[in-house]
Amino acid sequence: MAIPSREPNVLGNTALTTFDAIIIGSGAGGSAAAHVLATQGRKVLVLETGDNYFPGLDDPDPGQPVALYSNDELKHGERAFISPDPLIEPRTFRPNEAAGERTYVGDVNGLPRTVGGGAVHADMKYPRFQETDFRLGSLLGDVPGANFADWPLIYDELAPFYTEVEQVVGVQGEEGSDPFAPPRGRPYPMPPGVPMYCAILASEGARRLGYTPFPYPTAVNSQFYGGRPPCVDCGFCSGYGCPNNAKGSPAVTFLRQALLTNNCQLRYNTTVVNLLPDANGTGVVGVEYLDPAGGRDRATADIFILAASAIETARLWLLSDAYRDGIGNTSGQLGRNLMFHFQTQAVGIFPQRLHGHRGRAVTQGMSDFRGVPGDPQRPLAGIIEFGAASELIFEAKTYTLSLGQRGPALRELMRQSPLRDRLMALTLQAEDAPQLTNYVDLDPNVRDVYGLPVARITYENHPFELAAREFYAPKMLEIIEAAGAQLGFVAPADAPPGSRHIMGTLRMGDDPRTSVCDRFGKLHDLENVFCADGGVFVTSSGFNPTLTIQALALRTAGNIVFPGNPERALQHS
Amino acid sequence: MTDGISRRQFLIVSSTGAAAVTFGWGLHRLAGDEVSGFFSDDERAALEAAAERVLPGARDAGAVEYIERLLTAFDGDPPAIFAGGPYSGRFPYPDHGAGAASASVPRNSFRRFLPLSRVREIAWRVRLYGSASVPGGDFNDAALEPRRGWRDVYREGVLALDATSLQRFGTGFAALAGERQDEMLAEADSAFVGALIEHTLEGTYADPEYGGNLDLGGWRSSAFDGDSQPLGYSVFDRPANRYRERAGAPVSTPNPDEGYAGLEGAPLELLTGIVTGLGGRRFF
Repeated sequence: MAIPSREPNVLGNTALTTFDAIIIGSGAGGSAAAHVLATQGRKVLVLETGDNYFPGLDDPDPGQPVALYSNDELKHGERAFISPDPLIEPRTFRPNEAAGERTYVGDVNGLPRTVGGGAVHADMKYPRFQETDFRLGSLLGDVPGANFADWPLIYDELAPFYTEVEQVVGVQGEEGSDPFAPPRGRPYPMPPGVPMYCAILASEGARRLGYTPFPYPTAVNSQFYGGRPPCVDCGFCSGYGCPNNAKGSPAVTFLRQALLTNNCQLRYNTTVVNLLPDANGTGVVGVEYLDPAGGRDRATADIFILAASAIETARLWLLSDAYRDGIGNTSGQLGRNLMFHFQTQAVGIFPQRLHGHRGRAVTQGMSDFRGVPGDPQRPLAGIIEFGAASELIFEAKTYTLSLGQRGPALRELMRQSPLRDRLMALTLQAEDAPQLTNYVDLDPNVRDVYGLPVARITYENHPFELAAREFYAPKMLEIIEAAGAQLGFVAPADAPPGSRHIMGTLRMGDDPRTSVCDRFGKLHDLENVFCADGGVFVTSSGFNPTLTIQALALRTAGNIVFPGNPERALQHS
Repeated sequence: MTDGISRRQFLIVSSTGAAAVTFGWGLHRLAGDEVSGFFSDDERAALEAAAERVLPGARDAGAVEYIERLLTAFDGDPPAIFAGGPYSGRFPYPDHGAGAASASVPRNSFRRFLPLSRVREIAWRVRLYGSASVPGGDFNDAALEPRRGWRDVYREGVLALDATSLQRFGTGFAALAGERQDEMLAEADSAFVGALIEHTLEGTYADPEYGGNLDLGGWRSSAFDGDSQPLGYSVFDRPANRYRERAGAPVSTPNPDEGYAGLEGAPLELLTGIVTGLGGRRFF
């Protein structure tokens, strides 16, 4: 019987002192891997750099932890409660090497740093990838300047792991509603919840134009499920931790179950800063970390799973004295092929109020603009999210800081609310071509609060996704018009990109000369090091990545326990 | 069919029980939370006048109380940076048996500020006191600019406003005509004016536990419902196995009291200009 921890900064079985595996990062991938290993009897230490906002996460009593999340825009949106604080943990950005050392310092694609990781802030859109997404190298042929490749696995191999994740976290959706979706093994665990008014308008508009909108597959409860309550549509969803645990966030699903096995210990406010090599260079023996008080300590294990996110995992490798310049990176690809989804946003301003602050941020979408690989009449882009706006402080700052409005004019804008209460936003999550010239390295000068060089992002779009934007943006505006907007426009692309879908940097593949990890996420160069975050993605697909991150993490951990037979670790498939 | 609850009805419901004590949002200084004032009366008057030029109504909404609470956040323990969770007590729990609001109201946990981790404390001390004044806070001062603390930025900014005003016009900033105040702000320290704008908006529209948004005036003036947990807008009816929306605040249908006034006047003109400037269109 597990006992809830009373020790500060530690959850789970605090008595454990020796570990089979160390997992770096408690987010989507790390939580899923911890769940497999702990339920299969392995002793697991999870190290998380962020704080814990789920007191009682390891409490075995029935019920759920009381979250410290809340409907509080200031805390989440302005004061970086769950996101990295850009003052103490900045990143830097430049579009290319010719631009100099950096063009920006601050928040660059900052996924939350907290127990439960990046997915804590997500509104948990959980679509599966399409079957063709795993074979884009073959299907697209040579795309000059891009680095497309096939994945070392096909959809059918991943399908049972998709099913497992959907069952554990609880995904709502409508069977057969997306004509472009791949075949599914089992139905969605829950039916769709309440559609938002803005999404109904957008769906009606899209249907009139011949498209096929559907209820977005979402890991949010629409019933009592997994011991967690149904969503109440409070509206503080995307960018917010869930106050009542209706979101199937990694913390309250995989991670909580792992902590309750008695085989798992989680240390938070604990930052891994160095990977320590064994004597003959074939594996890692331990990690150096900074404890919550800032003291340096070490932990050892037999197996190491990197799950700090595509950017931070690559950074940790580069921070590690033994690995910076060689081992692990004989392919020369580590840190490269950094991908986001290339987001194009079509915005409508409506005569009536759409009250986008009520509902789960995105309730419907469509895959009609995902396209078909190799078909010039249907360029490859991605799923479209039918969304709205909800945040009041953000709205006010947009009028003042972006549009220069003050005084009575500002007051009247806030009353009429064109950019919040009357706003609809369609977001295209388009395929982002992998490129060797888009990469993570260490900034030569800028440091974080721990005194370590921060990640520098060098990233520029490829003509591949820019052409897709040109093709689909006018069609998106047609949907906005058909939905009934008074005004419509396509927002300029942002730089640095605002996307929180972060992929690539440790791509998987069968050939160690062109990939960093093998088909089960193990680094080619090392015997006992695995990657279980978005880093392993070969291509970005055009669908939200978290479900696929978790399915791959289950498969990686399953293969550690049952080599060659990872499906044996599945409980629901 | 629905709970049909309004904020006013809800006040009455909750004031009959122990939950009434959770309605602290009208009182921005709560027992045990007393903070020493940061500004003198003159400074506060100047700052209120300046905030009012940013957003009319900000003074009454408590924007300057918010700023003062931010600047003295470390006077309390835990510091007043991250309000607690999950619920404010402004709304009740749902009753899943009835598919409606229950009579049970959570206590206000927003009022209990959360302890900061070691590195988060460095971040917020740097914001308030400056990177050179905080142990461990100067890690980027060589690569980037040292960061001034907001306490100095505000103090020096508001003193300069009044000093310049006295020198030029023989009166304090607060007593100047609005147009003169705008001129003064246009030439004031940009770090001060930038912080003032952002914090005025935060103070007007943030949850009242941070010291502003008095009597929820910021939310009321913007047709914003504020925080709604744990009730939310859709209550799951367990016996019927379906959701029920709140009639007064629906998710899937238009607002019942929507006048369809539409965007009009200066905001319509402004937005039309911006949208067409971005290559967009006005459809009607």
